Amino acid sequence: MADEKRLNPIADILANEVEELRHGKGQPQFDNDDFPSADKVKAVGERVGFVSRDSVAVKQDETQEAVEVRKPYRWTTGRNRTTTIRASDETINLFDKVATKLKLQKGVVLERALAAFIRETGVDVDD
Amino acid sequence: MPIIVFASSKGGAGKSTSACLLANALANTGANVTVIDADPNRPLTRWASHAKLPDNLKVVTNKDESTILAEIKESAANSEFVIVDLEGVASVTVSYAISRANLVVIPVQGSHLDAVEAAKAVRLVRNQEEAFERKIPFAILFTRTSPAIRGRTLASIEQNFKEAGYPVFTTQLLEREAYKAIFSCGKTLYQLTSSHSSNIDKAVRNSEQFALESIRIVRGLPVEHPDSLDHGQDDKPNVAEIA
Ligand SMILES: Nc1ncnc2c1ncn2[C@@H]1O[C@H](COP(=O)(O)OP(=O)(O)OP(=O)(O)O)[C@@H](O)[C@H]1O
Ligand SMILES: [Mg+2]
Repeated sequence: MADEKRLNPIADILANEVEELRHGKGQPQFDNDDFPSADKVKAVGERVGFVSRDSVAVKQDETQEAVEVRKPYRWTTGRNRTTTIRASDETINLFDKVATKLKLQKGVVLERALAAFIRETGVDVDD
Repeated sequence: MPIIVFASSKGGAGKSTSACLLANALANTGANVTVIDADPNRPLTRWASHAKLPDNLKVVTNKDESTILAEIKESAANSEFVIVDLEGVASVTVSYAISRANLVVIPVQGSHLDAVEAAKAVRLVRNQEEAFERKIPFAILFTRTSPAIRGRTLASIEQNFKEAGYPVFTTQLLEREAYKAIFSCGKTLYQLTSSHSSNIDKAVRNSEQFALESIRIVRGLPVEHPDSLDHGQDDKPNVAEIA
């Protein structure tokens, strides 16, 4: 039994810490009335560049490759239609996974997958 | 009722993943945990909608910057731990959340861009500390590090932080398949099985160590690692420098 416990000593130590905290040992004081007002917090944040979301253009590091495609881009790509496809859990999970791994929007993955499929099968899609 | 906030204006630094792991580890001890998803992209709300969460773990979705303070206040009144996941931008919501935090976790991957954005978050914390005469504990958390190798960039960033006097978590969250699987499979870390990912036990231990260290910081106690514990670097071969 003791051995079994020792398999994951961290879980026990963590549970113990939480228990001590629960009994007020080192519990931080939380009193909302003591906290600075929203206006003051906002002013301090703005001094170091933390501004209202409404006033920032959607920020994306140019150095970062194709992360999640954000709104303005989506509107200019023409990828604005939705469709429903019945598929198995497995297939949908795989779709998610590929999009996440490649950091691509799903519409882009679909386009590329179709292009690959057309190449592979040689199917003629031009009427 | 500690409030633990994950902040970095660098997109993809590991905020949502680390926040989720902390929530999982704390809830697994039986504690009541509320996660506030304050990212308009709603990553954790989406996760929670797929996952079958235990009763003592819940995710609430924050509307916008005008609601975050009330959301934090309400969650703090109703749960033992409040964890706030923020969007990767420098927004007022970030300022608000930090103003209520008992710990600000600033995730950093081993890139200089991450380090620059981390420094911005630290600046915000320190400005608030000064303006409001309130100590706001914070620490840098290295995420997605390799179990086997420690790159030069990471080492140099670590050195810079040290020189700047930034506290850094002893535990690093390693790059783990299991940490992705919780999102792709829609499960808590403790619901994963070997069919979802390998090395789940190691992933659990690593995130619990991170949780343990977080609580010690909140409690104002020195970080204590029992001798048997490695500091996140649990896979041999050991630390090697690579070019
Ligand atoms: N420790 C880890 N191991 C493996 N993958 C990780 C780890 N941490 C983060 N990731 C992966 O890195 C990517 C970004 O992580 P995450 O979404 O947590 O960052 P974030 O800071 O919340 O991003 P954002 O700023 O967009 O909200 C995700 O694909 C996630 O699965
Ligand atoms: Mg996130």
